[in-house]
Amino acid sequence: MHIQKYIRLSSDRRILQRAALLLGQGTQPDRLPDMYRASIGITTSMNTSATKWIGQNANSLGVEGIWIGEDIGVGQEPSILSSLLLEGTTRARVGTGITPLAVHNVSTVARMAYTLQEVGNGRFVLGLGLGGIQDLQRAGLKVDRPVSALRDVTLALRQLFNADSVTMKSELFNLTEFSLRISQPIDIPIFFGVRGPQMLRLAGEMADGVILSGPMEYLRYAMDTIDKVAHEREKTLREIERVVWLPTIPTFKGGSDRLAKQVVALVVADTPKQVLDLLDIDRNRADRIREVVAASGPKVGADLINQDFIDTFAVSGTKEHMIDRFEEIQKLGVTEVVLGPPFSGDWRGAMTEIFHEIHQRRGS
Amino acid sequence: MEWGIAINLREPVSEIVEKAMVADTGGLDSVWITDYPATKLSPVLASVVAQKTVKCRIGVGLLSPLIYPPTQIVRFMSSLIRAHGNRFDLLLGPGDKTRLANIGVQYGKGTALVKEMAESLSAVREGLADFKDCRVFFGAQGFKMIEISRASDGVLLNYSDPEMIQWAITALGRVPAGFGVGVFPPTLVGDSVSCHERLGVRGSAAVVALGLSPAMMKQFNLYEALLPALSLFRERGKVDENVIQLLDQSIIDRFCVCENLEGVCNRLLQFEKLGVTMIVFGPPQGSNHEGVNQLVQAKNTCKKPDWAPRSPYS
Repeated sequence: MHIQKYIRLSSDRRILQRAALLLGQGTQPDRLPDMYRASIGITTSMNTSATKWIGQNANSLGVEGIWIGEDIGVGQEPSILSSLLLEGTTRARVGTGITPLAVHNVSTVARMAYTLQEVGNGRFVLGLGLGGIQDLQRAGLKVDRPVSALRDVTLALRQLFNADSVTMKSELFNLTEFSLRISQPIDIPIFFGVRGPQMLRLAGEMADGVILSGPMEYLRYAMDTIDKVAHEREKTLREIERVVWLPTIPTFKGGSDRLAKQVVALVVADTPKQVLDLLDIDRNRADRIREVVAASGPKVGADLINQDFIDTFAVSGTKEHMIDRFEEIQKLGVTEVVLGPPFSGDWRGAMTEIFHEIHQRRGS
Repeated sequence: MEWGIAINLREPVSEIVEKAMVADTGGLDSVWITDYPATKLSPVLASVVAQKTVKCRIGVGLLSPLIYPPTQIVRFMSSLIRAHGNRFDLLLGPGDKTRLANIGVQYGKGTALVKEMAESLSAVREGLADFKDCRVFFGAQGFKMIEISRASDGVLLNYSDPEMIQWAITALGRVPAGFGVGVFPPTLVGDSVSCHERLGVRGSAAVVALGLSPAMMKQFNLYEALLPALSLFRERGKVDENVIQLLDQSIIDRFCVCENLEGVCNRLLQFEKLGVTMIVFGPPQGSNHEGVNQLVQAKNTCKKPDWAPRSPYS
C-alpha cells in the first residue's frame, strides 16, 4: 500500500475514535481540552516495590496514565511491568515511554502491543523511539537513518495492527509475510518519543501522540514544529496528543538532591545538540556535562549540575509551584503531563499530595 | 511423571486464562505458554495466567535467544518471579528456522548456532542464579543441541518415538542429579481419537518431522520417506494439507502422541521406562477447553489404583 494513502486510512479510523473521545469531554475537535491528563512516569530500573505501589494506588490517586521508560537491558521487563499495571488499574492508560526500537525485533514490539492491548481492554499505548543517546552508545548501537527507520517501523506496525501481512525490509527489520494472525484491525495508539526537528516533523505527520521532554523554550519549539506539520496535513490539534514527561523534584518531602542532579545530568546528556542550541543556558557547562556523562555516567555528571540546570530541565519546588508549572506547560498545548523520576525521600507522600492538589484545582 | 500442557495462544486472553484455570484446578502439574510463532507474547500471558492460577507451575517458551537477547530473557523471568513467586520454568532453544526467517532472524551456520545457543544458555542460567526454583530447560533434537542441554536443568525433546528418545538419552550420557528428561510432542488425547483423521495433530507432527536436521534424518533413516513432503514444503514455504498428505501415518506417529485415555497411560509408562520424567502435551491438545479437560481426565485415569498397563492389542 502506498505510504501516504496508508497514513490517511489509519488516521481516518483514529479521527472517529478521537472525535468520540472529545464529544465525551464536551470539547470542540479543533480546540485543545481545558485540562491536562495527570500521569506518572516510571522506569524499568525502579524497584518492584515502587512500581507496585504506583499500580496499587493509581486508581485512588486519580492517576490518568502510567508511562514506562525502558532503560535498555536494565531492571524490570517493560512488557511484564505494563501487564501488571494494566491488570492492577481500571482507568489509567498505560504506555511504553518509550520502547527503544534499536534493541527489539519489530515483530516482538507488534506482538507485545497486541497482547497488552487485549490485557488492558484497549488502555495500552505504544510509545516508540530509537532509544536514548547514552543508552544506545553504551550498547554499541547506531541507527544510520533514524527518521526513515522510525517511519518504516511505524508503517509496518500500522499494517500489522490493521490485520495485514507485511513483507518489508528496512534498516531495523526484515519481515516476510509476517502477520499477527488477527481477523479484525486493532487500535493501538502509536506515540513517538522524539526530540530533533526532523523527528518532530515525522511525529506531526504520522503519530497519534508525541512524548516530549525538555525546557519550556524547547517545548514551545517542538509544539510549533508539530503544529505546522499537522496543519499542512489538515489534522486538528486534538489528533496528536502532546505528552510532556519531566523530571519532577518535590522539595517538600525530603527528596535526594544528589539523585535529582543525576537525573538532570542524564537528561542534559540525552538532549540533542540542536535542542540545546535553542536554550538560554550555560552552553559550555552543558557540553561539559554531556562529555562527563558519556565518559563516566550520570553519577559523575551530577557534580556539574547547578540550580539553573535543575530549574531548566526539571520541575522542582513545592506542590503548589510544581502544579503552577504544569499549568504553564499545559498552556503550550500540552494534553498530558507526566510526573517522572527521580523518586526519592517520601516520594509516595509527595505524589499523593500533588495528585490531590491537581484534582482539587480541577474541582474533581 | 510430571504432566504439563501447552496452551494455544491464538484465542482471546480470557479463553487462554480459562484453559489454564481448568488445567490448574484439574491437577495438571504445569501449564506451558508457548512463544513465537504464537502471535501473542508469552511472558505477558504467563503473568496474566499466574494471577489466575494457584498451584500449577508455569512454563514460558520456547524462547529463542535468536529473537530475545539473554539479558531480556533473564528480565522476563526475574520480573515474573518477583511479581508472582517461584512458579516459573523456562524453555530455551533456537526455534523454528523457517518462522524465524520470516522475521528477519537467520539461524547462521551450524557451529555458530551451537556456540550461540551454548553461550546464551550459560548467560541465562547465570542471570537467573538467584532464582534457584526456576528450572531452565533446553529444547533439543539432534546430538549437538542435546549435548548443550547438559548444562541446563533438563532437556525437552519434541519427538515421541521410543527409538529416538532412547537414542537421545544415550546421547546425553551421564547427567547431573535432578536433570529432567522431558518430551514435548504434538498430542491429541481423548475419549475417542482417530489420529489419521485429525489434521491438527498431523500438521503439528509434520512440522516437527520436516524440521529435522539432515543428520537426524540420516540417523533414523527418514530422509527417503520425508523427501516428497520436504520438497513440497520447501517449494511452498509452509506445511499445508498437501504437504501433510505426503507423509505416511507411520512417520507422523513417530512425532506425536495420539491416544485414548487408557492408551496414554500405557504410552507414558513406556516413556517412564526409558527414563523420561516429564511430558508436556503439545498442540493441538491445548487448543480448546475440551482438550484440557480430556487431559485432566487422562491424568486421573492413569492415577487410578485399578489402572494397570495393558497392551493396546489385548
